[in-house]
Amino acid sequence: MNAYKVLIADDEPYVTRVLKLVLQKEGYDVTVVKNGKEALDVYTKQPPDILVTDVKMPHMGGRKLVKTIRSLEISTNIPVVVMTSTLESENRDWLHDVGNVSFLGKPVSPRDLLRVVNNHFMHSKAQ
Amino acid sequence: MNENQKTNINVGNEKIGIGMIVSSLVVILFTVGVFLYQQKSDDINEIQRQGIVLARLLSSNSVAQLTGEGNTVGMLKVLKETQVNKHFAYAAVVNVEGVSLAEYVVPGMIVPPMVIPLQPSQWIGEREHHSNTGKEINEYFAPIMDKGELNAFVRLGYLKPGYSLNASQVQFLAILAMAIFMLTPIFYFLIKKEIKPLNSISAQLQALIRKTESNDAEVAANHSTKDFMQQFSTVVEAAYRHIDELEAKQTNSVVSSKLLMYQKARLESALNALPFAILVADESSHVSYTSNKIHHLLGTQKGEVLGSNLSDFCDNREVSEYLVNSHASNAVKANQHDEADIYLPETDRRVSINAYPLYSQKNENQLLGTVIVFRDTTNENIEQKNNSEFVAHVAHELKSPLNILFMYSETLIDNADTSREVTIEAANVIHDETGRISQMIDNLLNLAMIEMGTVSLRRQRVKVGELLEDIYQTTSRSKQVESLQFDLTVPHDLGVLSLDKDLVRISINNLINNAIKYNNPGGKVELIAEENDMEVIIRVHDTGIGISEEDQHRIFSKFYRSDDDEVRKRSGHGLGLSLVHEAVKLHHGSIQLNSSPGEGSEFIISFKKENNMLKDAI
Repeated sequence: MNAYKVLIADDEPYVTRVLKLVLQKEGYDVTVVKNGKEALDVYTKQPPDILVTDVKMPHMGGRKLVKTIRSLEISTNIPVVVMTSTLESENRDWLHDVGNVSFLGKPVSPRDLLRVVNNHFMHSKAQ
Repeated sequence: MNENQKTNINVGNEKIGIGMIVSSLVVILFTVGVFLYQQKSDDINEIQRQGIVLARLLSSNSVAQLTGEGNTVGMLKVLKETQVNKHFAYAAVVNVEGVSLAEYVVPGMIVPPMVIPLQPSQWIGEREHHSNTGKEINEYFAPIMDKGELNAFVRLGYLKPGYSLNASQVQFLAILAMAIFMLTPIFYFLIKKEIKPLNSISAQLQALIRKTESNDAEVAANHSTKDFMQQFSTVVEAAYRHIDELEAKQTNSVVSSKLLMYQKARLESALNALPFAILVADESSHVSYTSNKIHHLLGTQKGEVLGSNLSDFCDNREVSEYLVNSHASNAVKANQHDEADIYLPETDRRVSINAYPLYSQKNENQLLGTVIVFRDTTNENIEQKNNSEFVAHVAHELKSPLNILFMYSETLIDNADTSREVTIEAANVIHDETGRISQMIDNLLNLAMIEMGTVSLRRQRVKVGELLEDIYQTTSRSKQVESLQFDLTVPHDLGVLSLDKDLVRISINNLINNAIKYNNPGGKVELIAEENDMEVIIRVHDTGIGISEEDQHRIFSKFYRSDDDEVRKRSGHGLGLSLVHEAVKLHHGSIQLNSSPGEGSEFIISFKKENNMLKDAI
């Protein structure tokens, strides 16, 4: 069983509950936070292997969170999965420079998320 | 000519007749007077001349010659006998003592005494005195000398002449008077004949002044006067007509100017009442009219706008450009204009501007100017924005539970066989979220109906105690209350109110659900009812997370949800309290909130009792 650390940032408790449930079942070490600020705290203390984040969150949104972690010294260019609604799709330009980012449209299919996360680690394992 | 005027003219003729008689009498009297005066002064002169000459002539004779001696007749006697002057009174010779030596006097007259003058220079002269009969007498005297010595005085007295005429003069005057008397009526009739048309003219002129009808005056005069009168009447008639026309024109002009002013005022108030601001520019791009609203909209000053050029009309560059361009394009191509939507930072308003060319009614190709209509779209935009926000919010709020349903159902499909844990979790979430959607839609519909005014309260007599008991029982059975202490305190004799039972039930349920949802494990929820003379009060009290002061101001707003983590942890859609607020308002009740973060909240609803509502209505 792998022990990749997944950090999920989303303010919707039912969403994080189901995502956590699905990822945990696959053996991932899942940490759930409610906003960008908390995510940043966790990131600096114990950097995860992958970040799954919503865009709209109180206190600090996903956009600022991603830009901030990419500018941090400890940054390891970890993969980021951004969950955006179709309404926000036009505003994805900001993520072009960020690199190593994949998108998941809302409503996020737990099945798809699992596939994306798995793909990342299979890819890195192959490397 | 009316009777009154005829009488006036006749009276005038009589006056002329009397005047002529009086004046002829005056002439006669004057002539007589002149004659009398002339005669009197002639007599005086004659007496003086005769007196002086005679006194001197007589004084050159001796006393004896004058008085007569022996058989000789004295000169004085001769004088008396031959005296032709009718005014002669006396002739006398007196010695130096004043004693009369001889005297000849007209009957009835006495020679008055004479004081002999001492000075030789006063020996010759004349004096006036009164006779014994009181008549005035002019006396002429001269000294009689004998060998160089004063011997006596000669005195000649004449009665002072009065006014008198002689026979020939009386005759002449009589003829003259007769002639004047005979000529007077002739002149009178002649004048009367000539004056009649003049009177008529005068009457017509007076009538003209008084603006009365008199042009039908009968004019009887000689031929030339008749001609003149006819011409004059024509002129007068023309003048009347002209005056009438002018008066009619003036009346018309006053009426039309008043009508115009009234129409203008009415048009202006109509234009001002329009929900648009209107500006009219003439063909030379100058502002010729603005309705009142334009100043409020564009921030211009009323006095400064009229007559100004379109390019200087308003400070906003965008508006000025649009006005100038649309005016210019109107001049070139008809009916070609685009609507402009401009934000005005000066007045913090948004306007939509349209320009329409203004053509002459007579000549459709002649451009008279441009009509520019400004529509205030500020509120429209706000409303539109609010509506868009509302739709986005509803969509989001509906989308969230649907997303969750989607995620959990998918998870259920993928894991149902393998994991009982996942199945139970997913089933619970799906159950809760469908409930949430259902409640949200209920609240949304109720709110919408209240806001649209389509909901009418189905008031019925509600025993508030029973209603609260029912709500309490239903809620108590729900799983969410298990970890809490939930109490009901209702007096057994709580009154009856006229309420929409369903709406009040939903409202109180919303408050209780919030009190449960935002509570801490092991917390307390109380449903309390009490009453006073005026109202029934329902309190929903909890020991939950509380509400910050900032949130308290906005908590009844539609879709408002606090950013607080403790709030976000719990599902909600920001409609519950908004619905409670509207429902209580609809019942003319009031809602109050007491809360401090970390300690809990208390919502207090007050409904007025029926009798008090009646009193209020009265």
